[in-house]
Order: sequence, then structure tokens, then C-alpha cells
Amino acid sequence: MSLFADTFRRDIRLGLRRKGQILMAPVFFMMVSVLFPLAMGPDPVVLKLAGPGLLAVAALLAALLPLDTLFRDDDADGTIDLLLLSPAPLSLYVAGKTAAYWVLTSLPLLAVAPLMMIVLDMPLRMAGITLCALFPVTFLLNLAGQTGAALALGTRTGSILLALLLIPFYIPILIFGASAIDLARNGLDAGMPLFLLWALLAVALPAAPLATAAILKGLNE
Amino acid sequence: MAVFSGQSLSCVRGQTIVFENLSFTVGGGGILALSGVNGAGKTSLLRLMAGFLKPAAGTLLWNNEPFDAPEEKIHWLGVDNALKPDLTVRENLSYWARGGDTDAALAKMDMSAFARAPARYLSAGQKRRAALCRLFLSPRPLWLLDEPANSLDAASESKLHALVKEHAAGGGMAIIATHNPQAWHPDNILKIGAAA
Repeated sequence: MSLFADTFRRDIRLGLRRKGQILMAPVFFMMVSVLFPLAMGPDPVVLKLAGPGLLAVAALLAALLPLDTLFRDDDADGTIDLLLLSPAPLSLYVAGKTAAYWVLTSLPLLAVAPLMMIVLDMPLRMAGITLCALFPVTFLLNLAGQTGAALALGTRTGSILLALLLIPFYIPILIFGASAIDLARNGLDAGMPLFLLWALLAVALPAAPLATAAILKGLNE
Repeated sequence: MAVFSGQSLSCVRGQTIVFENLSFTVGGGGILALSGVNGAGKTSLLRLMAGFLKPAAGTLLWNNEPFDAPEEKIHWLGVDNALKPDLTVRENLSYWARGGDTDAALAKMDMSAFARAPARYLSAGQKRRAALCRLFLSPRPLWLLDEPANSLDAASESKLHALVKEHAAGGGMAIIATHNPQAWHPDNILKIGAAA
């Protein structure tokens, strides 16, 4: 577990020293959430219909934004070569990096989510269920994103390829996340989409770092 | 003492044959220099030894057994320094320490005075020395060094030569890709890209 903890600590430290990169995701999330009602007008009916989906889409776009840099530095400066000769499994490095990335980019996004709910005319009593949906949504987006980022590494069209690769994986996450918030908002049981989100997370949490580590090893050859 | 060898190794990248039918042997206490013009395949051979590349033909042996578990045997120094500019030298080194003594490793390459300096403020030679400190964090018998003296001044280069000798004298082995093989006083020089 040392490699996981060391990578997590190192990336958090790096992130805190590059404040611009940390702020990018939550600022983007807030911009999308604030600009949409300004563009569509403050009609509560429109906001009621669009709010849950908009929160999920804004979270998706914010998570996608800095993703192609995830492994780029470590690949370019030879870190991944050294990690391949480390006795610890490469998947621990991937898991540590993803956890740090989530803390740096998605945790601030969850922190500002209640504020965005007010902007989107969503009742604050829904903050709990919204966060309960956005937590697995953001984590799943990051886990799928890290695998895509590893696949796109070494291609000249990394960012475009990454977006194209990830959209099919992001769609179910987006649908379950938005429908959980929407059902709750309409006073219906949001249990099923939430269950599916957390079940997906339970599968992806161990599987995605293993898959990403295998991709990184393969790319190196 | 251990013996590391390669027999009839060939390396193909895409459609290009980088080198073929190369063999080498280096034993404990030995230094092998790889020389050759740019693009001859020195780095490819080192990467193949590290297990980063698969040979198109040939085998790598450790004590006459198929070479495995490179993570227990190899210290790798590539052409890139694997330093994060926003971390201090000590923080960079600590990431790789896994219980190793970072202070002692820094002292080996005379980098103690720069321990708290962010890597971005180091000169190219200092960055190389900081990267070289990783070799001293844990003992591994085989050092694979790709142009290790790049950017080093004369004094640092001499110090590195002495440290490589010291490693070999302790039973370790070093394989060094270099344009100046004689400077390392190697036991053997493998010329790549030259007629056998």
C-alpha cells in the first residue's frame, strides 16, 4: 500500500502547488451551472426540468477537462519507466493517482454543488441525495477517465481521442446520476439508479486501476 | 556472484530492425559500456534488458536461468530524470525511497545543500545528480544507466565514475550507454551498429 499512499501524497502536494489546475474543474462546473439559467431564463419550470441533468452534465464536462494530463507528465519524464521496475504493483500507483485526482478535482466540485442547486432552483433538502448521486458519478467518471487517459497516451490526438473513447462509458453514469436526482426531486424513490451507480463503483474501483495498469505496461513496450 | 547475459538479441521497432544478433555477458563486479552512433540502439538494448521491450529474438539470462523479476535486480536511470519541478529535491527522492535513506543518497551526489530546493530551480547538471541519487536508495545488483553523465561537470562526472566503480567493487554490475566508453574504464565495450 506504500506506493498508493506515496503517490496519493505526492499528487496532492503537486496539485496544491499548481492551484490553477485544481480550481479549473470547480470553476468550470460553476460556470456551466450559472450560465445555463442565465441563457435559458429564470423560469422555474425550465430549471426544474433541466436542473438534475445539468448538474450531471456539468460534473461530466468538469471531470473531462483536465483528464488528458493525468499520466502525461509521468510518461514524459520517465516516472512510469521507473514504476515498472518497482516491486509494488503498478495498479497501486494508478489507484493513488486517481484518488488524488478525485480529491483535487471532484471534491471541490461536490463542495460547491449545494450552491449550484440554489442557482438551479433546486430545494436544499435534496442536497443529501444529490451528493449521494454525485459522489459515485464523479468517482466513476474519474475511473473511466483514467483508463481512457492511459489509452490516449502517446497519441498525437490525445484529447479528441479521449473524449471519443469516454463518451460511451460516460452515458450510463450520466443517465443514472441525473435520473436519481430527478426522481428524488419529484418525490419518487431514487433507490434503483443510486444502487446501480454504487454497484458500478464497487465493480470499477478494483477493476479500473488493474486495467489502466495493464494498458500503461502495454504502451511501454 | 551473479552473471547477467544476453544471447543473440534482436530488436525490431515497427518495420525497422534496430539491431540483431547481439550478445553480451557481464558478471558481478563488471562494467559493460554500450557505445555506438546516435540511433544505433543503445537505449533500445538497455530498455530490452530492463524488460520494457521484448526482444524479437534471443534471450536474457541471469545466472544461466531465464531473466525474471527485474524489479528486484535493476536500478534504472533513463535519459529523463523523472523529477517533478514543483517538488523539492528531497520530496522527489522520498517518493522513491520506500524506507531508503534519502539523506545518505543525497550526500552521495553532493546534493544535500539542494535538498529543499524545488527541482525547477536546479541546473541541468544538478537535476541529473538528483536523479542519480535514486541509485543509492536501495541496493540492487544491476545498474542500467543511459548516458548517466549527461550535463554533469567534470568533477561530478569523476565522482560518478568512482561511485560506479565502488558499486562494481561491491559485487554489483553496471551497464552504461555512453558516447565516451573509455571514461568509465569498463571491463568490456559492446559496440552497437558496428560490424562484428
